[in-house]
Order: sequence, then structure tokens, then C-alpha cells
Amino acid sequence: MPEKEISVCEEKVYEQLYREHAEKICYYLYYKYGDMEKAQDIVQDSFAKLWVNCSNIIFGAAKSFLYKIAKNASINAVLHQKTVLKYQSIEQKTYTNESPEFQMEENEFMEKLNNAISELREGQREVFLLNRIEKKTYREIAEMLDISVKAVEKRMHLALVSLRTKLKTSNL
Amino acid sequence: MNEDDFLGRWLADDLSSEEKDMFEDSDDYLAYKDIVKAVDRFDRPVFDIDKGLKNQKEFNKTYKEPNAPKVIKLRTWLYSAAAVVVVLFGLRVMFFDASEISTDMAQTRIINLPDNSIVTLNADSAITYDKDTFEEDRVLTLKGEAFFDVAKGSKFTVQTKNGNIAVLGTEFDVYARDKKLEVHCFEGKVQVTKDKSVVVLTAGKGTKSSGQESLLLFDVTRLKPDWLNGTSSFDQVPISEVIQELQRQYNVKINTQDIDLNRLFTGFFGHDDLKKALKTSFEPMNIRYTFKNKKTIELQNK
Repeated sequence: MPEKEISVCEEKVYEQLYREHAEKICYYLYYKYGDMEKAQDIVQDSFAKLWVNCSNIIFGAAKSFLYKIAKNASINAVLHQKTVLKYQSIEQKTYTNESPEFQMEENEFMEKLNNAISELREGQREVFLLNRIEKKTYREIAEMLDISVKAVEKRMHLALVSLRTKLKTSNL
Repeated sequence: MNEDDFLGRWLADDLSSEEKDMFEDSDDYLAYKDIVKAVDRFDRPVFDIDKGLKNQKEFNKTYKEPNAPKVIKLRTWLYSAAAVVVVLFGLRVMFFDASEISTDMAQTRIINLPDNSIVTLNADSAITYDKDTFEEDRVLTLKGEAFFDVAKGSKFTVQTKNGNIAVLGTEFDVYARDKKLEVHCFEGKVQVTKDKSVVVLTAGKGTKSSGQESLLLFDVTRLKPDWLNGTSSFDQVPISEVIQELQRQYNVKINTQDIDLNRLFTGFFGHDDLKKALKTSFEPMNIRYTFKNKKTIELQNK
């Protein structure tokens, strides 16, 4: 056995894994299902499973182990209830030369957009938000979800088309 | 903009300059631009890594994985079990050898089952069972009415659409037509199951239910069902049931005009003389019967 094999059971290694992946997995689950609390619960569960099984998991496989557990857990959890997404909008600018009517229209638009996003298909929503909010490249997303870059491009396209259609019809 | 990845490539800044120019000239461009701009204004909730890590360590101390090694064993076991079930089901479908025995109107029939039990079918009734497995599981399906003289042995089950009857060597009568289920036990012990209610009958007891209501108990005074001796008897049943039984026993059609079919009837009629039967059934109810032809009878209030 090589002397310098990294063990997940070592506290420092485990901490490093947490710092590197916990946040990303959490946001991934959040974009997928739109429930931050549930996402955090699943992350906690996944890392606890990693800890319990630390002696069986080699360091290099830890990341995929975590994602796999998170994906499986989320499927179980979400079958029971579908939550409504809530996205906080950025604080309004304090100084503005925009008219109140314009601001109201803006807020209305944001709300509609919010609804339209929550009505997107799961697969489209996770890809779209990972790219737009998390600023991940298509390649990174493809790797994370285990799909092709082409598939990511298509989902992005479909997500935008569907948002546009929803906003158009709600304006009538 | 017709390709299904166009906007995806646009967002990744992966369009050729011609494509880009064309798109920026189109009406859609501004709308999409607005959406993307607006999405950029959305924020996400904060994930505090340090706090999360602290909680995680606390959580890990008490965390116990629910029987991890067992899960793997169970799964392998489940796969083989599922395979066995599939194969068995396939074999059953291939070799299922159903045998149906039925009676027409105005006909009764005595059947000797493979396990030496004897079934007497009343008119317009049928039993179905699997020839190959009947001796082992002793399960049959009944439509209509039949009298069972069950040979001693393992559990014997009669399935009807209105409920199931399970017995150990005994004599009993089952009536399952329309929504009604009626069981008379003449010897031994019978268990009657309907939906969720279960009733155990000993010799000389009966139970009945017409539709939704639960099973009612009553005493059986006779030693054999009357229809085995060539009569049909009724105790406080709607006249409609009597008419149906007449139709079955004599293979006739009875038209009711203005008769109230819910009136209750107590009495009996024989199976050998139609005129007599009509007289005994309808005279006391103040109902007149007339023959339209040999097989059709019309009823009227007097």
C-alpha cells in the first residue's frame, strides 16, 4: 500500500471535501428543486454517508459518490412534495430616475419571470440556473449532470424559448 | 434561429458573426436580451460553509446509516426473487388450464371436483377452477348459486365477486348474484370475507349482505338448501328477487308493469309446476299474472 494514500477518514481531508463540494451540491439541488432547506438536508445526509463509509471510499471517487447519493436522495424526497421556487431579487436601487410606473412594471416582470422559471422542466431549470446564476460553463454543467455539452446547449435554448412564450402569454 | 440549440450557443457567445448580426436584427433579440438581463438580477440564498461544516460534524456523531450491509444483501435477494416470480408467472400463464362448468336456465348440475368435493350448481350459475392446481390450492370461482359438500382436507376457497368463503370440510350454500351475497352453513365451519369484514359461520348459521351493508347473521333451520329439493324459498326479500328466481328456474320472461319491486315476500315455490309457482308467489301479493305466450308472462296489480 503506498504510504501517501489520502484517506477520506482523515478529518482534514474530509473538511477539504466539504469545503470544495458542499456548497456546489447544495446549489445544484436548489436549482433543481427550488427548496433551499431540503437541499441543505440532503447535503448533510450525503456527507454523513460519506463519513460513515469513509474507509471504503477512495479519495478520487468521493466527489462522484457525493453527487450520486445527493441525486438519489433528492429523488426520494421530491416524490413526496413539489415545492414552489422562490428566488430573491436583488435589492432595488436606492437612487433612481425611473418613474414609479416603470418600477412597478419592472417588479411585475420580475415576478412573472420568477413564475415562469419555477414552471420550467426540472432538467431545463437546473441547467439554465447553473449557467446564468452560478456562471458555470456548459462543459462544467455537462460533467456535473453526466450529459453531453450539446444536450446542455439544447436545454438552454428550450429554457429560454419556454420563458419567452410564458412571459408573452401572461402579458396578454 | 430554427435550430434547437441556437439560443444556447448565443448565451455561450458561440455564434458566427453572421448568425449574430442576423439575430440582433430580429424582433426576438430584445425580448430574449431582457429575459437574460432580468435573470441576472436574481440572487441565491447564502450557503455558509463554516457553519455547515460545524453542523455536519455534530450530525455525523449521531448519524447511523440504516442497515447499510443488509441493503445490498436484500437487493441481490430481491432480484432473484423477482426473476423467480416472473418465471413462475410465465409458466402459470402458459400452463393455466381453466375449466368452467356452467348451468343454463332451468337446469341444475352435480359436479364431482378433483378433490372429491361435490358441487351442485343451481340454474344459471358457473364455477371455474384450474384443473392442474385445484387439488393443491382448492380455489374456485363461483358465479350464481351452488351447494358445496367439501371433502376433508386443506383450506377450500370459493371466490365470488361479492366476497370470498374459506372452509375446512363442510357443507354450505353460497348465493352471489348482482350485489347480494348469502351463505348458509349446514355442517362444519365456514369463514366469509367481504371487503374488510370477516364472519365465521358454524353449522346452522347463515350470513347475508346486499351490496354496501356489512354481513348480517341469521339462523338456518333447514338441513339442506331448499332448491336441492326442488323448491325456492324466501324470507323477507324484495319481490324482484323472487321474479328473477322464477325466470331462472323456469326459463321464462316475466314483464312487470306497475308492480312495486321493493315489496317484501316470504314464502316458496316449487320447480316442477310453473302455474302453481306463479300462483303461490303472486296470489298472496295481490298480483295478477297473464301468459302473453308460452315463455312470456305479464304481471299487473289487481
